[in-house]
Amino acid sequence: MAITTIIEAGSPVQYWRKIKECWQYRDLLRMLSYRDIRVRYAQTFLGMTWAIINPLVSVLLLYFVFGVVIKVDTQGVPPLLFSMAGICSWNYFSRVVGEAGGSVIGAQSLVKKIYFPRLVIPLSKSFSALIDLGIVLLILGGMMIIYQVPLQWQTLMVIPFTLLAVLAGIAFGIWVAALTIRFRDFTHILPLILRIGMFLSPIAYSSTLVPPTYKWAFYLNPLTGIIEGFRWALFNTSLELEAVWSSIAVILIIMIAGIWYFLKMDQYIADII
Amino acid sequence: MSTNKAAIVIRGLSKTYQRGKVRRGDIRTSVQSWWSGLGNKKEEFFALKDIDLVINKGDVVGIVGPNGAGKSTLLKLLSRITFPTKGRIVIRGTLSSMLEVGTGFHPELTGRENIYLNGAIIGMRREEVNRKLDSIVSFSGLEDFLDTPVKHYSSGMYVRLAFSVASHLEPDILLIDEVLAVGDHEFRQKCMDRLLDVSGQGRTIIMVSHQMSYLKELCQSGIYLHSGTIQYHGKIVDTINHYINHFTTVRPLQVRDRQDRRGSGIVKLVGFKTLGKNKIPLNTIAAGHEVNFQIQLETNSANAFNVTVQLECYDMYGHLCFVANNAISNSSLPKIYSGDTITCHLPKFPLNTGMYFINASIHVTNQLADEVLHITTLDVEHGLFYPTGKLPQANKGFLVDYTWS
Repeated sequence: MAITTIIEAGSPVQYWRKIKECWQYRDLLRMLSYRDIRVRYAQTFLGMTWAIINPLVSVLLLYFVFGVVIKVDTQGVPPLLFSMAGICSWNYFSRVVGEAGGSVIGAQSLVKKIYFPRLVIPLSKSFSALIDLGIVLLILGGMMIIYQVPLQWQTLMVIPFTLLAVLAGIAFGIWVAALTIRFRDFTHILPLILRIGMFLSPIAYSSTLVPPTYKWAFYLNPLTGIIEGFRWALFNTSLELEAVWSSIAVILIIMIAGIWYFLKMDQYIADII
Repeated sequence: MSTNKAAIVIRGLSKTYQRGKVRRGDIRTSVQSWWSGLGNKKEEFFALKDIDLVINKGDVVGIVGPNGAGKSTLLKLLSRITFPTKGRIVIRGTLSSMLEVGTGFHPELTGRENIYLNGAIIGMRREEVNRKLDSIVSFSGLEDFLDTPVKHYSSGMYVRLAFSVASHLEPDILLIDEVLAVGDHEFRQKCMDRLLDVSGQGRTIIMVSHQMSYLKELCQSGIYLHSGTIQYHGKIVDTINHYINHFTTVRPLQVRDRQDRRGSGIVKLVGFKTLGKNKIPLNTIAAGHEVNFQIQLETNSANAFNVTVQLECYDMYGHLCFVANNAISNSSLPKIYSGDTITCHLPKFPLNTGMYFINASIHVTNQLADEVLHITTLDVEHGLFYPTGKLPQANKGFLVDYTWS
């Protein structure tokens, strides 16, 4: 009748049970995401407008450097649209990963006082960032109307690629959260990696410009497949399937390994933090 | 004890922590410790050592003990915040902890939003909060402020809201760690009534508190923890008596034998006595009466110059109440010899009723020579601080001389 919990030192980690627990705590996941969204723009003068200004400034900057100064080949797509489509998933990804990094440490007052599945904390970051992703996608939609980009069946493929970006955010978010708990150095390493990642992802340029010798390494970046796929869906730019498959494979491996590592460390988190 | 009556069964439970070095750190130490291998013996201490315990369904148990006795560690293990080093815990039924006030609240969110957030954190489902929302709000009495961000709340309102959410949780086992220490008297009474009501429904409650009066009122049984082991488990009144006796009677004789010291050891604290008027030994201190702390020192060095003796008095929450330091009020002792005693004289003891403890330390030429934590416990009782013999509400605050006109 009643639930019996057995806590035994040295017993193996019950991965499946812990994953199920995350589902039981889905209301907490929702409330934490809601809190983040509410708090992020509270008390700022421009409020939610910041969610529009930030990506716009990045896009204009990329447009200026790659579209106006360097004039990279955008396969006939207007450079501004090209960069905008590229930055959608990157912005989301870097926001999730950036916030997930310190998320568990930031919640230490909770973590030390009460039990709940800790995995919920980095996960909530991937949900709270969805609102910004939604806003950027709306801006992109608006720009596509202005530029009169025709819609086709292919446009629907935006959905799976967006989902893939969410999965990438979750996968890497869990890893950086776990690593930051274990090694505080990651608070310094993370922004560095994200900055490198921004230039190594084909946001304002196409991966067709990458020399074939380096392409395999380029495809290991899961964002490559996502960004190129996203652009292919919207503008029918060239897309190499290898990029998509390797992106899916990398995300899955990283996600499974991340969940495993995080849960393995779970029971020590309150002691380490 | 039949085991199917048990809500919690603990067998051989231990929890160790590494002293000083914790398992976190930078990559360098991690690589170093990996490199130097597992044979490297780390210094560990037992927060809890080989605990066996059965708590029956419907019991209301109070846990007492000095700071660092393992009370919170035990609750953390039960609530799965940390994991045991050894042993086994079987918990029958759902378990939750009542959170410290404000934990899991966000100042920018409104009262209503915080109810949902806090509810989710302590493990309530959304439907459950929906169902209980009216009851939570009316318990807190904050109907008019429900859509105000809690950053505009007074600390009293904060407490009410937090406690109202927590007290609507319906676990089989509830853990309470010193949360009743806050809040105004009236509301605290309301919370206590609700708690007692809750325990009447066959709920098991385990609470840690330094407020003996509350424990006496709320609990049936008690556990006295000391240095990670259970010293006594029985009726709450007996448990509290054991706890208090342990310090008031045994401690003064034991100072010489205490091993848990820090410092160079040039001068050592070997005796500590709490004396009243005319140097009569005291078991309890009456508020407002004369108290003398007599400290006996020993030295094996001819260089014990410039000796400073410091007594720090803390309340049971670990808040510093006062510091008595001879170098501040007088001057340090230029030279001491073995067997010297020094007495700290308080003409009118200034603390309200309750339990306090004293940490004593000695500095020789500004170097720590000796330190004995919790050298004695002070049990302060009613006394004639004011001519009326009345004192403000127990266990809080200082007593100052004043007159009204």
